[in-house]
Amino acid sequence: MQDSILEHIEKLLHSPALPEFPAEADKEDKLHAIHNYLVTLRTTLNAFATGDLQFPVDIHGVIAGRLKALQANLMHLTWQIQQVAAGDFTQRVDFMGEYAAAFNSMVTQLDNALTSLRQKEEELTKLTEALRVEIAEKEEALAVLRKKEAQFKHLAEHDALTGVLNRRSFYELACAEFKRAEEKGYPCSLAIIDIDFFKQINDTCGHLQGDDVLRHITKTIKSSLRHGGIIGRYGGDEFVVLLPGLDLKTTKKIVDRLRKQVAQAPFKTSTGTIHMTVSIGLAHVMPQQGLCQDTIFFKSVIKTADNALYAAKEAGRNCLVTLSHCAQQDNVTGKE
Amino acid sequence: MNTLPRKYAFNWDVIGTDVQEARPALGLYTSFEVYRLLQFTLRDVLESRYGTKAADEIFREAGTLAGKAFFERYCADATDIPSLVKTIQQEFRTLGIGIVRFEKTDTKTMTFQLTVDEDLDCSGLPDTSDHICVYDEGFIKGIFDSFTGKDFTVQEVDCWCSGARTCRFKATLP
Ligand SMILES: [Zn+2]
Repeated sequence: MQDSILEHIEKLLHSPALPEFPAEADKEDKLHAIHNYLVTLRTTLNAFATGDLQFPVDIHGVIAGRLKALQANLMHLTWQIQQVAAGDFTQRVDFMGEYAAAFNSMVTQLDNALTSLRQKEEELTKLTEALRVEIAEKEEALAVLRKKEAQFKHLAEHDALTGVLNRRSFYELACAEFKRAEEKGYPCSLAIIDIDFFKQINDTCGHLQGDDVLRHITKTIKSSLRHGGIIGRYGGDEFVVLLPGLDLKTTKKIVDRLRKQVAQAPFKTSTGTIHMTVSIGLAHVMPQQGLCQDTIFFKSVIKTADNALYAAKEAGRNCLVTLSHCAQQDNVTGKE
Repeated sequence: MNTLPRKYAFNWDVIGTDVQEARPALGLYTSFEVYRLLQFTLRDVLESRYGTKAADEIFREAGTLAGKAFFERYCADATDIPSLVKTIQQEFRTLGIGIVRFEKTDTKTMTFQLTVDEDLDCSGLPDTSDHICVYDEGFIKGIFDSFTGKDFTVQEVDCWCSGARTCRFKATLP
């Protein structure tokens, strides 16, 4: 009997399978109590071993007490890890020996690493901000530079006094226009406009007033060429106008209207009114006469227009003389 | 509700706080035996006069009063649950009430679970199935009630002997 009791207890402690309660000891109340205690202990330990920390420990005594302490420690640890995960790096474990030391060292290192990461992030943010400011400054400087560049380009291409194209830029644009006219097969006309007796205006009114007159004429030319056309200042009181794509009749009409407008729009100064007229030489080039963009061609068209202008002066000024580029025939228009 | 005239309505002044003057030689501390002597003799008289249930209720109510006074004096700076938890842990240790560890602080459901090791009221008592820390239950309720303005139920759900006795409390909202 005693042997079977001891054997049963041994099985309860060691055997993986739960042993049957020995029938012969059925009346032993103390053995029943020990049996139940050990069965509960096995179940509880099994729950803990498989990760169920909440399993209630329903036994008493020193073993149960130690088991409860272990359970509580693991639950405290879980809670502390949750706190660390939520950002509380002040958590320290003061139980569970080696485990506590490892946990505390881990939290300290995590805290240090995160602090240094945060510092680095702050530095990076500062650097980014500094970079942003620098880029903004550079962009501002670049914008100023671009504006200046545009101003220089404009100054280089335009006549400072009147704002129309200078001789060189007019030449470039006119050559490009001749090329286009050649490709598309349309006519082109080039007019040289010369202010009659400009020297006298300069002499009597002074050069400053002379400049104002040039600006005034420019304005008149621009307003009368509202259909387009390239305007340039060719010399002192000479302007050049290129009118592409129009037949001779229309061109003559436009240019002569320009001449009339100058005559009808005297320049008013504080000391009086300056009346003026212009003589215009017009060279007309038909597409079949051959257009090209080279310098020789340009010069020859200028020469034709110049000849026409000379003829206009000879004809008594304030008139338009047209020459066909090839035929170079005089054709005087207007004169009032 | 009791309408009798009061002589000892609690506030900290009743205790007398100037230790230098009151106990220049003995200072702040006394033995825990003396504390328990007072508690258990009082419990003895209350139980014999009014029965166990009433005695427990009186102790629980006194604990709640003490917990509220404790909160006002020691936890008034706590701004959130984590800082309250920290303060409770520190002050319980400093004052020798017990070693507090938390197992659960669920602010969504307002459920808290904690253990108290080396409890002033019950460490070293025999291991029984009885949950005897009713004063502690009230004490913890007083703290959480004061902090949240709510009416907590605190229960000692487990109490065990492992050298220094440990008690587990669960605080929930009804
Ligand atoms: Zn207890």
